[in-house]
Amino acid sequence: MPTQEMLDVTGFLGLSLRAGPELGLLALACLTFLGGTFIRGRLLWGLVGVIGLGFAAGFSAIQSGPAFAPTRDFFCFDDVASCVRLIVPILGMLMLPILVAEVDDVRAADIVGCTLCACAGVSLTSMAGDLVLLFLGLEAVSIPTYVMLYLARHDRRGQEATLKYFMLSIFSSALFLFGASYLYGLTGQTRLTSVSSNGLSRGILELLADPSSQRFDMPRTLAIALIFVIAGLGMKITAVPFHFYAPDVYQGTSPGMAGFLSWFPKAAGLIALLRVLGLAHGHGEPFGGMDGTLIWILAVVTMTLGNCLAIWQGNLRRMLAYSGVAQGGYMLASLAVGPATHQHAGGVGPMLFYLAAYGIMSLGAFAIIAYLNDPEMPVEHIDDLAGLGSRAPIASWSLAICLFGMLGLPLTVGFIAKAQVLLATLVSPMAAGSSLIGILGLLIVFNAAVGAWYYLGLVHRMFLRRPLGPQGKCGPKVQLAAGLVCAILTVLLGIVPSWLGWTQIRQGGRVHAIVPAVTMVAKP
Amino acid sequence: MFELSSEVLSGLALCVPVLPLIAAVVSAVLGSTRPSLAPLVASIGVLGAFAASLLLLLATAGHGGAAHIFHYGTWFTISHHSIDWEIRLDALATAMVCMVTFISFWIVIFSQGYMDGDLGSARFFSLVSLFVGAMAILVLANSLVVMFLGWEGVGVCSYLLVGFWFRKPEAAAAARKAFLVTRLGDVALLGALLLLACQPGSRALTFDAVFSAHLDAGIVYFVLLLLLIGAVGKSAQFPLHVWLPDAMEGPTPVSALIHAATMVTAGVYLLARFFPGMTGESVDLSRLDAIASVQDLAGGLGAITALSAAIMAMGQSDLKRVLAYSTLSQLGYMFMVLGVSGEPRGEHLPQEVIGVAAFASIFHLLTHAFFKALLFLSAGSVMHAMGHIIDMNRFGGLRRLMPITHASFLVGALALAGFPPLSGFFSKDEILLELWNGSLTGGPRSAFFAILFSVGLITAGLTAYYIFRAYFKTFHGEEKIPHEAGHHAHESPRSMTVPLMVLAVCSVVVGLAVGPTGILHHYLSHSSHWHLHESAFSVNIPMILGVLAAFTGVAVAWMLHKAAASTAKKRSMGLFESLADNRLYIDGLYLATLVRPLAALGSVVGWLDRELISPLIELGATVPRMVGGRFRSAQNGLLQFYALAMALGLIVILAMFTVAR
Repeated sequence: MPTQEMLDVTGFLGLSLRAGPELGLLALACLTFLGGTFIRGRLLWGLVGVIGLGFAAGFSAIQSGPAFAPTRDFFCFDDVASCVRLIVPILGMLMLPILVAEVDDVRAADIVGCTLCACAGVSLTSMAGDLVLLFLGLEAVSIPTYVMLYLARHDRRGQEATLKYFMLSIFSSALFLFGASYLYGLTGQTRLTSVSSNGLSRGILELLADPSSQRFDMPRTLAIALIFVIAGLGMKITAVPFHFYAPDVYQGTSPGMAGFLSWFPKAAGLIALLRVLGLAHGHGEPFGGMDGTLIWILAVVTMTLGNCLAIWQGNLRRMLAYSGVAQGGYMLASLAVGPATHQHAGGVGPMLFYLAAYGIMSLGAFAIIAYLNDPEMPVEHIDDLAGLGSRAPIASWSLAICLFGMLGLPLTVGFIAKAQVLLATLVSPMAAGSSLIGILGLLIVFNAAVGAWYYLGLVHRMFLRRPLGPQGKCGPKVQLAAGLVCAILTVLLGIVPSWLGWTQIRQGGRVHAIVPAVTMVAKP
Repeated sequence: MFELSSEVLSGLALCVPVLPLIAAVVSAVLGSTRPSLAPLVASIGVLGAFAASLLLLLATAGHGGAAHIFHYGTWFTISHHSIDWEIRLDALATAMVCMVTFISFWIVIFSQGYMDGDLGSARFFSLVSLFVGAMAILVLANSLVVMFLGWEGVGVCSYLLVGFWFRKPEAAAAARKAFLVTRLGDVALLGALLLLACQPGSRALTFDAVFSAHLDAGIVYFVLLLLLIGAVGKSAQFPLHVWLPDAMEGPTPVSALIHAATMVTAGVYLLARFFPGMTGESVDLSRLDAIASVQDLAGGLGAITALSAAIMAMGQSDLKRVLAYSTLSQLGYMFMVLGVSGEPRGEHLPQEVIGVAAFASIFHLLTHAFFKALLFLSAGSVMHAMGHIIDMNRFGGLRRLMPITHASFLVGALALAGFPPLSGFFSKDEILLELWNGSLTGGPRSAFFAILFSVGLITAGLTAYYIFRAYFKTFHGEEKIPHEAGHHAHESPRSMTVPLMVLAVCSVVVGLAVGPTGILHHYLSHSSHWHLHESAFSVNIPMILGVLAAFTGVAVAWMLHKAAASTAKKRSMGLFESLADNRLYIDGLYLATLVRPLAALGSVVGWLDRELISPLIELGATVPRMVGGRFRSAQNGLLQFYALAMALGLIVILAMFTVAR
């Protein structure tokens, strides 16, 4: 096992060892792209991808151990990073079989390579201590996604979906870059944060948080920077009003790919937001409280509209797209709580837990839909699920459990996640100062109730309705297996959420377990 | 009896809830492929749980004292409340799980014969196991939140089991009613938990922590009041009793399970824990006063239920409904005695008085479980033979046809009526004695207790009457068999008669074995927070009065039965005959005094519901749809528009943050 001393080598070697999982995944992706032109085979490249991700997860787990001191520089190796770097490869391992089973042997290597790239991209985003690296990480998620959208489905609707995603994603990247350039202009820095001991080199966030800095002279410029950065990330998070592409693209692509879109870009966007706003570091208030208000508004609009629109949907993937919009709203709500302080664990831990929980439940749901989808007779409308309970009991129970989880029923991981976000908003010290955060908690409860409508509607169709027409064949068993694993994890982590608590967030000099969350107030 | 290490105890305690839960999952999974294995799996699971709880009982019988608390892990932590997976094993919990698993096991065995050939019987056995598991969680939980989980689990299982034949509209309606009415109570219970959680300085929501916390008398009052409402819902006391008689629509073994071992006992169990527990260690008069005022309510509701349910049972022609009302009435007894509040009496501390009262209710709960399960299973056996006909007017004189069922029903009826030395006698006597003692103190509440005592006495007489009326109608007189019975009209198979015989033996001996010998008293005195003082068994006035009432009831039932039999021949109507033929007098009385006013109240409530509540709810339901509908048109599928909308959204936000400042 590599030790701290071995990896503390500064310079290229040390860095490449420390960022080993990501560099390894990127290298493996290149190998897969290249090898795929010579050797074709779904099984082979699928296995290569899963094993590679397994190694990445293992290596990240070692690095999250206590032997490795957190550092923050160009690369941030802190608790947020070590948490995300574990979640991402694990969810990638669940994602790969679903995607690979949807394509033929010719495209298998390409889709595996793209998935590996995207996983590396989310990981890099979580480690980004610099705007340049942050953008690189985000693009490492976006660019493979364009390719994957085309690989997964290439009829006319698929092409339309790909084009829509491509155009709007580029638009949002431009918005992000515009905002980032303003940040650079304001501070003359691209480094977000720096922990150099002499205090001479300071990052954007430290400079902005410093009362003596110039930001109070230019609040509008700062606001423009902040808003453009958030707007650029909002498309990935599917925050309203940047969500428009989601239902169309989910509907126009394959179910497995919709599952990919529901988590990986969203995770990248949320984590990038965490980094840019400095919520992971517990600085003062670099944006003078503006960021909290803006995210509060986005969270409320996003979860409410997402849920209200999901009620209307007849297409299964469109409904889940809006459900994903609403779930993104809950995570934004968690970020609106703000960073950890000495008294309060803040919203970052609950957000990361929610992100992991949502990933498991969402991938499970899409895995089952992919499994049920027969190219001859696609499962498109929600009524296509009618009577599924008797035809495919394991699949329908797995789907039902994942839906229960997204709804937030007790004994699922979704309950714990929602309870944490809710409590983070209710126990927040800001709740005492302004009632805004408390209202957010109430709105979450209201939205959870609206969510019950359409989630339970699906369960109702599966178990209490008779099938409406002839039934298609089920797909590859590997997708069923992935869905089943997700369903089991949903229940298991709902009973023993502390198993998700391998990582800890050290903030404000205190240790807060991410879960069992959950320690909202640091023990004296 | 013997020593077991703490690890072994902890493992055994875990087995009690976990084995039935595993059995539930396994039989559900097996259900689709090999439904014939489901009963076996369920009975193994429940038997395993019983074996574990019996071992726990024996191992803890010798040395009591403090409760064992076994920690298995943390569920989650909310601010400073840690919700743990913990089992709290004390004498009361052990005795309860022993009873629950033992009776459930025999009910499962009985069901194998009863449910034979029913489609979906795998679902049935899976749910029964789940029911037992949930009840075990409820009884054993250390954290109140985990207890609530079991409480809800029991509610859900009863919903699914009462509505087991969901294609029957009555069954579906009964299931919904049971669920909704008990939910009312559940909300109150949740309120009590939240109230406790909000108390400053409350660190953990466990029984011990709550009992030892320094709570305001007002808080104690509201917590107990909410708990009482929860218990009233679950234990089907007036005015939330309406679900229990309808719950008969489920398969008969389910009725036995709900009425005897699980579900309805939960409310009594909860109060028997909380009333003595909340007194605290020292005598705090304001706190005792708060407890006493809730206890008054419990006693009053119990008395109303006991008497009115007994009256209702007298008029029923449906055998299962007689038993259902009898359950209500008997639970009313338990609530009545829980109402005995701790006025200092002689040399005994108030805590001791409340403890003894709680003991009396739990004693009756335990014995009642045995004979009520026996009665229900006997009725099930009759039903099985009569082709699912349960109207007592349609059959009669079955004693030669079904000798074992006849004998076991007779034993159950004698026990219920409180004949010495059957089990119901000792426990009912304990309740009457407590009420009698309470009325003799001369304190401000003695008149109240005197009323409760006389209600108990009258109910004892009525109980003996209605159960023997049902017994004579079913098993005596001319042999009458409905045509639906077909070739079924014979004694039930072995798998059904053996449980009957076992439970009959238990109904005879359990009371005698543990009551007058003081075994149960001594064992339960180890339960924490119960300050039981040693007492010796003796013949006393309430006991004699109770037995007299029981004899009178049986004699009246017999005379009326004879008279009714002769009217059938002679057509001459005396007073008793007309009473016997015209149950309608009682039905009519009940109709005029209770049903009509309640129906009027119901129509008012219904009007309010239709005109006021529903529009409000519908408004709440339409708003999200309306909001969604407004914004739907924006989703027009055009890429240019999406980009434009994003840009417009951006501009709006920019305007908000830059122009406004």
